[in-house]
Amino acid sequence: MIFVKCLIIFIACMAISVHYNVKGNLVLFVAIGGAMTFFTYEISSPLQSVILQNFLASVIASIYSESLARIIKVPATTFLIISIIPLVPGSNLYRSMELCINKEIAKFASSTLETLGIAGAIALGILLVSSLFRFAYVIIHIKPHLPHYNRNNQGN
Amino acid sequence: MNYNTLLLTTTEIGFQLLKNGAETYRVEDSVTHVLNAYSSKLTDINVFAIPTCLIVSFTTPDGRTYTKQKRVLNRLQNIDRIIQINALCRYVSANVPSLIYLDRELRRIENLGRYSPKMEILANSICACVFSVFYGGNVRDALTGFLIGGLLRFNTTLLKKFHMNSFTTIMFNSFIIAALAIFSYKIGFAARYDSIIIGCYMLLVPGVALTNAARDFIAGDVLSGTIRFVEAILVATSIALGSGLAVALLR
Repeated sequence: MIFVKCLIIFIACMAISVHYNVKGNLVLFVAIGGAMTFFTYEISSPLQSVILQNFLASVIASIYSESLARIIKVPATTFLIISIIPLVPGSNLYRSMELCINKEIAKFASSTLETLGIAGAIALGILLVSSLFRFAYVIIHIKPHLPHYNRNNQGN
Repeated sequence: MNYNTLLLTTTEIGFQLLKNGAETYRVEDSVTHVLNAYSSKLTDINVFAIPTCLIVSFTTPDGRTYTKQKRVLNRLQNIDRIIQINALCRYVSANVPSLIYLDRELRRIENLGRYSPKMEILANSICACVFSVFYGGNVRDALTGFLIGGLLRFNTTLLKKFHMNSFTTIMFNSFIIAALAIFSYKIGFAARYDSIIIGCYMLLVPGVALTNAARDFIAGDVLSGTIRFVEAILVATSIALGSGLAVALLR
């Protein structure tokens, strides 16, 4: 069942990449990213927490995007934007809206908070991984940068 | 070196990146790199970008200050163009071609086509159809989703002709989604309308705004990050309002 769902996400990500004008081989990479993100979300279901699941899946999506971006020299957002699509809380948004119409205010509030929490978890996953990658990048490149920096300072 | 041409060309690079939905730090870094590549004698290079505005400013060796500001009015998401301009900036930083060449390349990238309208409609339909199945719909629901997804594309193009702003467009679109889904349920074609609505939501959800907001916050562009985050929340609210109206009225 998981694999059927992953296949569905794979096709959906290919379709949605037309919407964002992704071309050529990249469509395939992007769709793999989407399927992988969803796979992580599903296999982490023993955690029993939607927010944690979303966070983990978003971390995996970011690692995939950032490393692929450095390998094939394409901006990381290309992969990230579409890999995140299966996580975006569309169904939670709908449930919140429905609860609001049914005037179940307490449930509506908790559902809205959960939607916001999921969005926050996705953003946090991206934030964490991207800043780690940035950190690693600075450490690797620290030697070429340093002399340049000193030379500029001596001029003043 | 003609500083005026340099200013105009580099601003155009930044403008194109911003317009096609690049993150703020990419815009600022690219323009700074290109300026540095063309003239190492420029001092006080300042590039400021937020999602709706770009300011480029530098001082030449003879003490003149050049500044250009450009508003970004209608933004869209075109990843292919970001990739092309990014590659162009890498090439320029390494090889420093003439400004005329740079200008010509920018024009070429600007004229690169998108997918054909038929292809876009088909892709939208497939996306809505597949997500309807994903959220628990059967074959009939998928077919309804397929039709609504295609129609959404027509509607967006139509509303663009009336210069409708993006939030109203999204609200209108989500109203149409919910209304058609419920109509199809009422006449007994679709088995359930919620899976169709959620499936079609996926064409409107603010995934890009959310991703870019997070990436702007990492780079330290708090202002841009906040703007995009608020945008994401507004889009989500518009989606909920539009479909909520339809569900409340027609259910």
